[in-house]
Amino acid sequence: MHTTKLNGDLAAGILFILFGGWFCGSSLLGLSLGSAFRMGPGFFPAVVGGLLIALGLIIALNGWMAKATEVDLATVPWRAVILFPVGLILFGAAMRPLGMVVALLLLCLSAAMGVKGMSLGRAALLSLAITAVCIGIFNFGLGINLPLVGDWLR
Amino acid sequence: MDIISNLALGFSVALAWQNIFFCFVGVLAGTLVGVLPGVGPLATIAILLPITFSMQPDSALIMLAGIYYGAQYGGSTTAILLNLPGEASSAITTLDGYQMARRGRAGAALATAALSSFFAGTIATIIIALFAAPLTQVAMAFRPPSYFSMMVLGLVASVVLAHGSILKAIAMVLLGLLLGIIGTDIYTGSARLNMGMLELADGVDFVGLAIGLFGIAEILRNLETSEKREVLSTKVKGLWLSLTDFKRIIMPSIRGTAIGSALGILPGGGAMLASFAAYIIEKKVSKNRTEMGQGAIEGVAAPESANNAGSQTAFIPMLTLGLPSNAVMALMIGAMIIQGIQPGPDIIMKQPGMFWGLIVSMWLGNLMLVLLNLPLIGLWIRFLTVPYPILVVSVMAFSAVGIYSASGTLFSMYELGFFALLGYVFMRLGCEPAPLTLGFILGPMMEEQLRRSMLMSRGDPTVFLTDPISLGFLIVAAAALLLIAAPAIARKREEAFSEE
Repeated sequence: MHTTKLNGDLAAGILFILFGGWFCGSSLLGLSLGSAFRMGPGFFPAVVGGLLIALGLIIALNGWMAKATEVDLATVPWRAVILFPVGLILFGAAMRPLGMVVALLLLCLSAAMGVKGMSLGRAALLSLAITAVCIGIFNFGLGINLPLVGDWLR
Repeated sequence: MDIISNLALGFSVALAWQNIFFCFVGVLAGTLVGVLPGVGPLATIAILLPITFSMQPDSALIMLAGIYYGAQYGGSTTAILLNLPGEASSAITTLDGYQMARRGRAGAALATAALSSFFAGTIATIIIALFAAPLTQVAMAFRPPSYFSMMVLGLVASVVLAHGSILKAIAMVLLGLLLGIIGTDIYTGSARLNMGMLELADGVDFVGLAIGLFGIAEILRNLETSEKREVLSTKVKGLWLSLTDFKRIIMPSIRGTAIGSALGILPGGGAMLASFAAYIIEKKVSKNRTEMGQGAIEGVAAPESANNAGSQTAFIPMLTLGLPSNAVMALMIGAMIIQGIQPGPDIIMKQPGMFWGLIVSMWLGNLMLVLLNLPLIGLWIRFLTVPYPILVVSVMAFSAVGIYSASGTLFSMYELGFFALLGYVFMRLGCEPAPLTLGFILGPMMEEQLRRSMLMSRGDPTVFLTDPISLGFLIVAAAALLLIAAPAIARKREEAFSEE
């Protein structure tokens, strides 16, 4: 059977190097470091970012050289990985123009369809139910002030 | 005496009707998530954080604390009845608890778990009440270098006691420190590291980070395996203990409480470590150690008392020093900061009502758990039959509405989505997100203390070695790092964690 494997340590190390590089680099280039006496806004992030790069290098080398923990990419729930963030962004984008009801329905539908083996009909039913419960709890129970119906629909 | 009047103040706060109510809501929610595998107290506290914005600070903390220790109870219920630890800290209870249940002694096991937890909760409350005030006195003597070194020690300890690779845990702490200082530099007021996004002027949203890393990332992880949960219909009878049983759990409970209380205070410690240590020690010293693993009542009493004691004494460094000892405590500090309370030794002076009220509410909450949970066990078990998709969609909807109601921006949804994916990627790569959260909370505080120290010493970095308190912390931190790097101990550590 063919499975796609990823060297976990190597990938983690590279990720840390990228993060550290960004923080260290943008502090060195864009912020004043100051002196040890009066540290500028860039001092702390530059040092910590540098340390992160160093650690990332060690972790990546470790992974590259020897016994790496392998990550099986076949088990990644791709539908959820894509649909969850999409749902959140739809929710945030729909809130002002369309209101909380539509925004929640969009979010719930995307989240439900992210679950493997979910049919559109069941997802719709589930979304309606959870939207109703959420509005009940947040708008009527906790009294938060989000418009149920948005600007465009009024 | 001071203690008496302090506790009286605590009772007056904890017994206010809205605080009783929120304590109840907290322990109820905690028990529920403790029962459900795959939703932990971290995720729940994170998801409920936005709701606490509109609450009084004392009510908010009382509710969040209730979730934390309530989850220990719920987790042990499923551990005993279904061999399924709802919570990592109850994992070891499955060994003897489930064996007891299989022999028809589920009732006795549940009663043992509840009683030893309550005993531990009571003792831990007294310990907090006794030691919290003197500790804040000690902390008052701290100067900026001492604070900085104390935070270094806290971070080192959280790394030493984290799962898996130490290097990765340190890297996660560093990344947390960096993410924590995004926003506006407090000294110069200039924006920094915000990638040109004005929305980041106040820094990365802690709630979005926490919900993303712990709530949604965890769900993504759980969606990898689509196993069906089996629910056994165990009839629970005889929810009480015989006199022999009662005698057998006294000593294990006392030992468990002692171990749990001690380990809970340690940075990086807390409930899970405590329960494992208590079980291992009980296995060495108990009179009935040969029975351990085959349904010995000691094997339930020791870890259950330890995890409850540990989950409560973990509040000591958080309340007195402002130092979070684990990720849950980091969330509690986050909740305080959101409420406008600066964590640190001042809390006991400036917010005595909140401080003592929280402590007393923990004891009340434990009492509620004993009285509530034993009769409600059947109901909790039924929650296990809730299909996972319902849970998934509810968590997504709750998180999104909670965060949006606080921020009101589309940007907060980008943040939430980003940290959800980042958290998932890190989990898959074997990097625990908990050290990152500690770093995130401590990042701005550490930078501030570092800069203050350097101003104080006119740029001389040896100030961290000449300040005696600071030197002490640094020596302990260095020793901990050296110890763990030693090959013999590194191997032991791997063994200890592989038992989980």
